[in-house]
Amino acid sequence: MLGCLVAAGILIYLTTGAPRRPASVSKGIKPDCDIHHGPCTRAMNGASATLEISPKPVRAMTDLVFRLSLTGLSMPDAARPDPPFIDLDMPDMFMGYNRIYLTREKPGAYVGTGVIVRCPSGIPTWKATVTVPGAGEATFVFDVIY
Amino acid sequence: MYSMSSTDLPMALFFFLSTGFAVGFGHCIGMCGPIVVALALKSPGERRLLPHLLYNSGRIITYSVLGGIVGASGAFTGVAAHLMGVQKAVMIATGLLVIATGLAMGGWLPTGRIFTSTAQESGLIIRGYKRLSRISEKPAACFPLGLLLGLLPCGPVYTALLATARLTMADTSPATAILTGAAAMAAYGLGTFPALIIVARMSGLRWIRSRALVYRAGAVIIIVFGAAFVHQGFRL
Repeated sequence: MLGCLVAAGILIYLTTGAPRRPASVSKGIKPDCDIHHGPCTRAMNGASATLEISPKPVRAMTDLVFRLSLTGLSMPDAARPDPPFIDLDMPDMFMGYNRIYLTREKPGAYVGTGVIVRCPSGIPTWKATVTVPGAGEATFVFDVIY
Repeated sequence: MYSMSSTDLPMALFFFLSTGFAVGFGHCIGMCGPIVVALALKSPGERRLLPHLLYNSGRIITYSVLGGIVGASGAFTGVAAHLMGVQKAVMIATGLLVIATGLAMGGWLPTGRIFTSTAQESGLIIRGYKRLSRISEKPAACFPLGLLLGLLPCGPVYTALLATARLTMADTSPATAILTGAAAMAAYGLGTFPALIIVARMSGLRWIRSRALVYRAGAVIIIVFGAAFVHQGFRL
């Protein structure tokens, strides 16, 4: 009987995809940014990062433009080792490495293009992690349209 | 790493290989596990690995072809838009196949269990179904199945194709771009291989196969996943 239960547990574990939902991220991460209606701003170590994605509404599997505005940073643009970048992933599921490198438009303003891919599960919630080397990270969680 | 050009090809291929490895354990086990389990339970005991080698070879070849197409076009979204209709059909068909496998595993088809030899072969439908089952149980059938299921819509595959488009963007020769794209996606597919083989080996263990209760529990789970595939296919 015990053998049956262990076997059933293994089979269920293998077939329900338990590894793709780590406990630390599977619960409680909900959209905190309405990216369809405007930019979102996050605090980042005393500074602020504002992310804008266009065109709107933001759809998966289309070419998108990502704009990042940084204000209040103590280090000037030229002094930073590398330009900022954005990592796109789903909060609940590992979707591979999708990184967008940004280029400087003007002081404190960066732009880059990328694609948010479609998840066949139909879950529309995506996470953009903005990294500014030498300054910190900011996370934006939002829904996209499939 | 992500913005490398194809002049760093060995490094790029290593990146795709390692990404595939991470995706295999972090994503494929959950999303493609039911298909692999279904294959494992259908495979004859003495040649359990061969169907999976053939299935994964087919899948990797499809990924390579997609990589070559993306390399040739230089645009991910254009290729993805053309693929969408095919992928929808493949997902629904796969779901139906997985449901049929689950029903057969549980002995809930009118023909009885297809994985035992106890069912009577009487009547045209039963004989035809048995014949089809015998063909599908041959390891060679797994290769075209892999080719087809490589087209299943999959987020990490899209991401890998997106990275392929970026990788091949700097290539001036179309032939180089096609080859680079194909090699990158082949490396990605190879990376996903270990996770799926481990699932296949574990689900094919004799002590699991010999427990009727577990067999039925597995059948129910596979049917649920098949239904989810069909549902998601219609929503695409």
